[in-house]
Amino acid sequence: MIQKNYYKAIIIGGSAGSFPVITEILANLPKDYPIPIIMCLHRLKDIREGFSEALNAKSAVLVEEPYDKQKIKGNRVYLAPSNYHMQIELGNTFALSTDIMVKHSRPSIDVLFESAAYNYGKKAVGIILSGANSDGAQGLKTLKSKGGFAIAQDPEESRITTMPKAAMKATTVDKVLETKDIIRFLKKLV
Amino acid sequence: MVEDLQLNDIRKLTDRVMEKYGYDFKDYALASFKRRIIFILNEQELRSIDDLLERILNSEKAFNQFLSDLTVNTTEMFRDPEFWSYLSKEVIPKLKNSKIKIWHAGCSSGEEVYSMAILLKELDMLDKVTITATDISNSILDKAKKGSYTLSKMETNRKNYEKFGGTGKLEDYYSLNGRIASMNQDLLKNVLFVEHNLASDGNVLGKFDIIMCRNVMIYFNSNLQDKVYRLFHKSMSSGGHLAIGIRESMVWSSIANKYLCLNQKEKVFKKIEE
Repeated sequence: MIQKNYYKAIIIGGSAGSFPVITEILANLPKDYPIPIIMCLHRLKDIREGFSEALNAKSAVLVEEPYDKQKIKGNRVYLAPSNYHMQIELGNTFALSTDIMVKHSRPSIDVLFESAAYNYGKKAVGIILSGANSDGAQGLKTLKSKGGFAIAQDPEESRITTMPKAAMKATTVDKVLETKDIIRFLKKLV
Repeated sequence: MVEDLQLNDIRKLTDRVMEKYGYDFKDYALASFKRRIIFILNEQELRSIDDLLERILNSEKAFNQFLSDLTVNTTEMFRDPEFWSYLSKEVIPKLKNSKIKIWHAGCSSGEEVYSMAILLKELDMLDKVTITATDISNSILDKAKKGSYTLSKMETNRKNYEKFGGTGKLEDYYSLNGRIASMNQDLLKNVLFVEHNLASDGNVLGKFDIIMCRNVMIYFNSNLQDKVYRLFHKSMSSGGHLAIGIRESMVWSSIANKYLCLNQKEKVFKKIEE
């Protein structure tokens, strides 16, 4: 049973093959989607710009890369900036870090998901999309252990299945969904 | 494996460290601080905060190691090459004083200090500048002084240097011993390394024309950040420049209205009011 207006944040992790999924999701949500969407997508560290612009071109909800200590609000999509880990801090703000890579990644999905798990507990939805490594699996496990709602993109549909499969192995996900059903699910939350 | 810590464990650690050594970590940003502590526990195969406390409270050497492990020391030469290009084209050549003073606050293993020295050398300004490089950890400062970096790190540094638009080759500034690159020590002739704790040492080290503090204050909570901003303000010459990390913001600080943002993307600010 999905409760409306219950969740405080939607946390999304993705890597190779997730870009079209993300754009499809964002293109199908209304501009005033009230739950903050917080995303960590693996990206080339040398390419500092262009990513959030590319997402903004498709998304009705405003996409931004947050600054350290920025407040988290609804009607926003937040994208982890290049070459920083992005965490959620007490008081519902972002905390960035240049700490060592986790699973060869910075930003790392595990780092984001774990901090979201501690701060939002059962009011977090975590979604792991297509990707070529296992980053995010540990994080989704922690999110689930704190009572959050865990979703993996259906490996049948994922361009690269390693990441959703690793997440499904690490924890018992609540739902395995195709992109169109992820969109339907997100719409049902509000 | 330790996977999580409770808040009261963390508070116990910061309290005992403060009592014994006078280092104040209570205003460090929690999420990153917790990650570092968990990392240290697992790396040293310790099972709890009590085990860690036993180790560091009974040995100053172990505490010093803890200090250097605790701070995030991932840095690169010419990290954010566009920032360094901006500094080199728009900021430093316009400083007209005969003597220029630069403070690298939280210099870690020294990569940005060497970047600055190389930049100044290529502008033929190295002799005009004195650099004060500070960090909380003495053992990290020793690393910075030595300036020895692995080849794999130098590969990242080289790419950054080329994007920055260096006029030579990064290889011109170091010698290789096996797989270790040692930076030329003449780059440090006007550099002074000083142990300094931004969280507690409120004393002004001088009046600086440029203060560099990139990706350091992200590890502090807003209270401590503001305290540090005020220290920088007191330590800044009139018309001096402050550089913070490209994903940091000073709009929330109490000194924000005394600064003009010269470059919003590269986060360079100029002091316009005492």
